[in-house]
Amino acid sequence: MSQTHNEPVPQVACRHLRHKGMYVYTDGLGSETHEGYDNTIFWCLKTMKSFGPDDDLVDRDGCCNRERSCYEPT
Amino acid sequence: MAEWPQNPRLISTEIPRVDGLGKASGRTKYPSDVHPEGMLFAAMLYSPHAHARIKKIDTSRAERIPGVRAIHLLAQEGATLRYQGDDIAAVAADTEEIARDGVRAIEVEYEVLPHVATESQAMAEGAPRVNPRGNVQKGRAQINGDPDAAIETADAVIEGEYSVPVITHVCLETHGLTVRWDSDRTITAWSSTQNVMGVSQELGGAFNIPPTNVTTLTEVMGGGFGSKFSADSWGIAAAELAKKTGKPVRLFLDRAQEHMAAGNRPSATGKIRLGAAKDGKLVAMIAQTHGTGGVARGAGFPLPYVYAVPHSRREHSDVFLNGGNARAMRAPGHPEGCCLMEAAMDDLAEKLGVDPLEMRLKNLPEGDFKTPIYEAEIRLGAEAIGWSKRKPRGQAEGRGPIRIGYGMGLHTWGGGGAQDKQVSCIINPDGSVELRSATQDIGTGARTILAIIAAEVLGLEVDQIHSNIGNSSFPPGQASGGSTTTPSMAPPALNAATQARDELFRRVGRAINEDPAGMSLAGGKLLINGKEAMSFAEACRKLGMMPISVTAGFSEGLTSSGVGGCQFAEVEVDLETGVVRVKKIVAVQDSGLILDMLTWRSQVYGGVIGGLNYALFEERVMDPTTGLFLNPDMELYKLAGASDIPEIEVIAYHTPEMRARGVIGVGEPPTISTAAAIGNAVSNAIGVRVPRWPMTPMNVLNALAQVS
Repeated sequence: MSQTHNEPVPQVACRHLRHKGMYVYTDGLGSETHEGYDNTIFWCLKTMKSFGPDDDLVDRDGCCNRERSCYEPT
Repeated sequence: MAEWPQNPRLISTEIPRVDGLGKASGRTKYPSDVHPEGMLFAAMLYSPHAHARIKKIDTSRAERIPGVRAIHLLAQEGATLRYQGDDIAAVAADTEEIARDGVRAIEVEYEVLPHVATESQAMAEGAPRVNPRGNVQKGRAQINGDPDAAIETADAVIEGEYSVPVITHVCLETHGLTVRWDSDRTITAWSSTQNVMGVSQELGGAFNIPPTNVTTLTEVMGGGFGSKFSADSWGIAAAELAKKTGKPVRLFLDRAQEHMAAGNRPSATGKIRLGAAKDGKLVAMIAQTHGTGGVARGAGFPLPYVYAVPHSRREHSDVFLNGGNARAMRAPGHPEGCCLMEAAMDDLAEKLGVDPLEMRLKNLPEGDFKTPIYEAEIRLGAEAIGWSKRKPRGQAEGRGPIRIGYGMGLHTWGGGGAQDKQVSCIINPDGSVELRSATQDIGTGARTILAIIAAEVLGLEVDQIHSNIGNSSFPPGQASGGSTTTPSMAPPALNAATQARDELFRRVGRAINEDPAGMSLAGGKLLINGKEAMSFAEACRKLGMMPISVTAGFSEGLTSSGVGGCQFAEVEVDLETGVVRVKKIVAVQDSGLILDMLTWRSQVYGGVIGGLNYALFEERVMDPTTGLFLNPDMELYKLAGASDIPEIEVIAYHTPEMRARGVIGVGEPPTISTAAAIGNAVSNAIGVRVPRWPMTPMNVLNALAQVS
């Protein structure tokens, strides 16, 4: 089925994105979000830091942005 | 499918740690103790500035020092350094002293940039930006009902601003590893980690080799508290140095960089309006909160935490500043949310003239399975602390300038397990038994727990089981986070031991021509139809040359999630000096079926002591002028000493109903409400809220001065 422009494009995080939940909640979606708050802390495997190779912040939304120069799909 | 035994011999009793003697005697080797032959020592060069750009790096002088073997740059010319402690380079040398000489000999020319080291600096108009998106990231507002209208109907409303500071993990064994290339595509890493599989994956990924080519070993570790999930930049640097030199390299952070760069618990500040009816039933909450995780996000926390508030609005912002980035820390977000909410609850109870304990009972969520558990736990805790001796705020008893106060707090946590982990159980023909899994013991007693389960099933003593974990090459095991290790690993351990036992019965039965259905194990013996037939070792000899090896996974009905607890504090406060002494803590905790009462209690003691540190001592102090971390050591960054530890009464809420829930983790929950309870006890003692943690003499005296 073709996708219309009204349907949200599935967000695929860069393959270098990591957070603790990915290692702990391995049988689910790797999510550690909670109702009402989100305190997930991310790092990038390319830099091993909270900033990516493009000097911008590593986070859930930013690392799904295919326009980022350092983005690499899964 | 295996079930927990109804009348266990070992489970739920007090079993000492199988590795306790080795740790206490110093025989056990921590990753930082491992010195493979030919090992080089590495040291890190890190940023001396809060915010700077590297204009030039010259390593030539360092390279000429005799004994310096290799230098690896983690930051290149032009790179931005965002906090004091940010990585620049690593030097490997024959000795640690030479490595540090090499670090000092690296010449770096910096362009120092303007910084923001405190939240008020970061939030100021026109402040220098820490990241391109600005220093304040607003979260989505949580709105429930119509709080503005509802709060107008309240009989009493309080408005308070409460805050907890950034604290660091202070792992006694600092972050790091020793790494050796065994061939050009295989690595052995002795890492201080709570995630042996993750370290193998990250090291393998960095060097484009399969993770199965990287064996990460963590026999024991000196604390992680949520901060040791990654191979980290310094781990990759150590592997680079080992590759360059062809020798094993040991790289563990020094204490200062450990404080600055290896993680912290974010701060939290909340301006909270809380309203209730005359009887103490909450009506509405309106809150604006913020916190900082340094250069990273992650400062969110739960509010109104465990209480039911029919109308609420909460707006939260993460604040970015030039400080080391946050990492998960024992019950991420919960101690912060607990302190802020419990302070507001106590202040509102005082304003209404309601007993704070009764007010808490009134505001537990109706219909929640945890509510009757909380009610029972609160009754137990109140009795143990002597809550009836508590006087209303401002009427505390004492002697001379000393006032005695009582406080309490409630907490919750998940603590369920992952369902995809495995344990192997090997029964050898010589009667020895080994368990294997790629989990690790972060200090909770995971190795002991697995041995207890196998010993229970096989009718052996705990020390007859070799509980072999901390090796990434074993069947997939749980990373130690979120209080998930025990509930993730206990079911596969039970299933593996049970299946191995059944295979033993089958093969022995075949050898001696007996029906396996009549066999059982008890007291180190094989029983047939209830009668002793032979020793366990003799039975194993019937296996011939082939051991039994069973790898099993999760099954339903053995675990659960969702725990609660409450803590009570009794304190003495000197009104003249502001010194707080905690006299007693009562910790009441449920966590389903408790497998080892001794290691379980150890977790609660450790959690309470961590919470006491949060309450009284710990704080990262940043200098707004220089942007530097003023106390990155263990002298001015205060922790409790032995004489600061009060009487701690631990009450396990371990009823038949709790045991029937199955296994739930307890690593995190008991550290959550300690600081809240102590904060409330201090306010009860001195008659005024100390709105800012820790309860240092300065903060206590400042609160008293505000009133006088």
